[in-house]
Amino acid sequence: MNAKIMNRSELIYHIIAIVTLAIIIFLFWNFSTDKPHVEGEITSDLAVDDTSSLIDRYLYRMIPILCGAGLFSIVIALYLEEWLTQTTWQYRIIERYIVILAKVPSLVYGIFAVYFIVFHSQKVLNYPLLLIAILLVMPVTIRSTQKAIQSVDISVREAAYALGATKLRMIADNVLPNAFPLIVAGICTAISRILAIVALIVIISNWINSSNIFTIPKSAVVLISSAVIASIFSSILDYKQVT
Amino acid sequence: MQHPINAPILYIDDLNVWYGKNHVLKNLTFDVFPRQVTSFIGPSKCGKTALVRCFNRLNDLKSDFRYTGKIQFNGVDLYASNVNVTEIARKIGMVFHKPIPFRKSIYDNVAYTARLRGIKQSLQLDTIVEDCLRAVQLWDEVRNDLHAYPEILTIGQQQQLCIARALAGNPEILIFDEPCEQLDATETPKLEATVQRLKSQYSLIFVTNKRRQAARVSDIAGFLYNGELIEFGQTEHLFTNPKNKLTEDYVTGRLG
Ligand SMILES: Nc1ncnc2c1ncn2[C@@H]1O[C@H](COP(=O)(O)OP(=O)(O)OP(=O)(O)O)[C@@H](O)[C@H]1O
Ligand SMILES: [Mg+2]
Repeated sequence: MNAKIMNRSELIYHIIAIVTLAIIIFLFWNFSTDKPHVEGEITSDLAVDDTSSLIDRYLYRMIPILCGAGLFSIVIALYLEEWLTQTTWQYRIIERYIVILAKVPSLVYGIFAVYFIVFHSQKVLNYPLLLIAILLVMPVTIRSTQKAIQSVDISVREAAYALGATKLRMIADNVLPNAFPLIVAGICTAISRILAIVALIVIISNWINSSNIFTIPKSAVVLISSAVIASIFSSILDYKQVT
Repeated sequence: MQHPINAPILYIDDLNVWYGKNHVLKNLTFDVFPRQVTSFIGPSKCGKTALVRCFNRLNDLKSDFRYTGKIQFNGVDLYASNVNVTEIARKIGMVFHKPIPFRKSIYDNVAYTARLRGIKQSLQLDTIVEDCLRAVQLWDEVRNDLHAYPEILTIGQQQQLCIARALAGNPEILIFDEPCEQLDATETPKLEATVQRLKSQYSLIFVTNKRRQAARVSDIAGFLYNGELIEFGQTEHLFTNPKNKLTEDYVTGRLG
């Protein structure tokens, strides 16, 4: 009985996860289609007169990059936990870097992002922005995926091996399903960080370019609320795993 | 299983095992014969788990594991470089001291091992699941809850499920490492009965720290003490007429 209920609530969480992700992506999509941009204009000089065109230019192109970064983080975390053992020096060094980067307040990345987008808008530098997005997303996603993988008990692994599972089968059948909610929680945290930074960029560029300094653009409000939704959802998933 | 009944299914010669600097098994030599229950008894930390984990190569997971000596399974060196480790693990199944059901349905828990050996057809899987659950006398209890999670089962039933899951791999040897440790007094006899039934088809290795249990379930018994195999032979002789003073002290309860 109990197990069935557990199962159903698990399903609900997964549905919520997918719906939230869909909403967030839909929002991005909306921004990008709001005011269709002219191809070729993207890398030319950027007139920061319109905040939604800013989002248009950067966020739209960042979504695939961020998805890639998220997947890559999961692969890195799997590699660290399953192939590099915790006692090797390589593991320790890489882990140190990731921990430090994940602990850097996202405001620091935000300042860099603002600097590059708002003040260097004459010569658009894509790579620094990309780097910032990746630095913002990957360390937290890797950390949370690592924790998720570590939360799978050694006895479960041993039981799978003792039945004749290969390492890949064990990961696919036992580790990933058990760790899935925590991994999604980590990705939500990362998305929320990104959204907050973009909101910051939008607000600041609006301040700079608008005559009325006290307005907050609508898009920033949407971004901030999506960031909050993402972190609420992340905490729900985390909480579920703990109990 | 084509081997003659008098050929050992496991042949262990002068086995020594180290975990790092810890010499946990010392000069073990014995044979395990098919269709019998071979039990290992001994006080806590004497190396019972370390020994049985050599057989399904679970010790390989420990980076500081080292061994010398010979372990042969059906006449083939278990640690030869061309041996398929996952195949060995499937053929030499193991049941742990606590039930470890996976977070899958009861059906999928049993089908897990069948799928590992490449069975995909659902009809065939259904048959295997039913047969294995019947073999541990769990079928009648769970036939209507096959798609529920194993949490609905008692600990004893979960342990039976784990046995069924191991059986689905079509093993030759089944290792039990103190399988009753978490079971209560009413469930232990059921598991012992299962062990007795499985004996006709499989070779069983049964680790326990309860002397009476070893006396009840096993045909052959070995007494391990501080990593040494003090005595190995017919259970009846070992319990009623031990040759070694240490064994006598242990089986009479003066030791450990
Ligand atoms: N991971 C490990 N690293 C180093 N030594 C270990 C490790 N695990 C067990 N040992 C040592 O190996 C020896 C044998 O342990 P083992 O677990 O095989 O005993 P056991 O007879 O199964 O005991 P128990 O009845 O408690 O299960 C012990 O001395 C123990 O301290
Ligand atoms: Mg043990």
